Amino acid sequence: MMNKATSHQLYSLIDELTLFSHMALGRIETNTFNGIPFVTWPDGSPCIPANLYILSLLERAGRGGNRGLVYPRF
Amino acid sequence: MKKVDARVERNTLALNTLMEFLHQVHNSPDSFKDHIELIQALKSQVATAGLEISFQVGEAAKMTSPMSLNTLKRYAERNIPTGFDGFNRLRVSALEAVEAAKRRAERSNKRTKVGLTLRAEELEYKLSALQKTNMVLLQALNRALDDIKSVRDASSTGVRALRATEAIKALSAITSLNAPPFNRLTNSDEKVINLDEYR
Repeated sequence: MMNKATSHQLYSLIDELTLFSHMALGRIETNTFNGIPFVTWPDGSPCIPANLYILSLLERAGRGGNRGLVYPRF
Repeated sequence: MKKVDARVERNTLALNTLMEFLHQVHNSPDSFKDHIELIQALKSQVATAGLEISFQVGEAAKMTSPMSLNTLKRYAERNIPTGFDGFNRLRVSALEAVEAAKRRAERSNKRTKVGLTLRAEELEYKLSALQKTNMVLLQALNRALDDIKSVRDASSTGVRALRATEAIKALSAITSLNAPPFNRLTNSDEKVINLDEYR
């Protein structure tokens, strides 16, 4: 469920986020992450540049699982 | 050309019908929420594979045919790009949709404190589902940008065609990770999805 201390906190943590990793022999391979921050604007709409940055951390080569990402605190 | 075995054909058809049925359950859970045996069956892979149930598609009535879980696994791996995993995600999301519809009918409302708490939980669950979808689509968008560049920079027509095919495969694979209705790129043979059920 939602991980937000107050309603104006600008991120919430997503659990069980399944993301595409690569295709192998015509099959899809995925990674599942827990506690990934989802960053929003004060009006609640998603902050795309920040989330793209977080995705780039998750996709970094050699960093499977959550290891590449120290949960940022804003 | 190899002749397709009648048994293979029958099982492929059974898989497709079952998938179609699960999609229907997911898309209009309200019409299935009182079907207790169905909800019980969706909770297990074996029971879902063994489902024998008739349903309406537009005018036509269709019937799913039961099969063993092993058969289901084998045909799912062979016939759907996301394999048995994808089938299982579809089963779980159909089950969740029916259970949510049931809960909604029973309890959540805007008049009592308990009802409001349930409503808040429901909405938070939906919000987190949409946030996941947003992340997946963002990844797809980012990937599409990279793919367009790599297709542009291809050295020959052959390489370009190969890269384009790979890109299309990867993008539809990424999209298939989403919960319906965000899991398919084209719905050319279907009517436009009724968004009211997702509001």
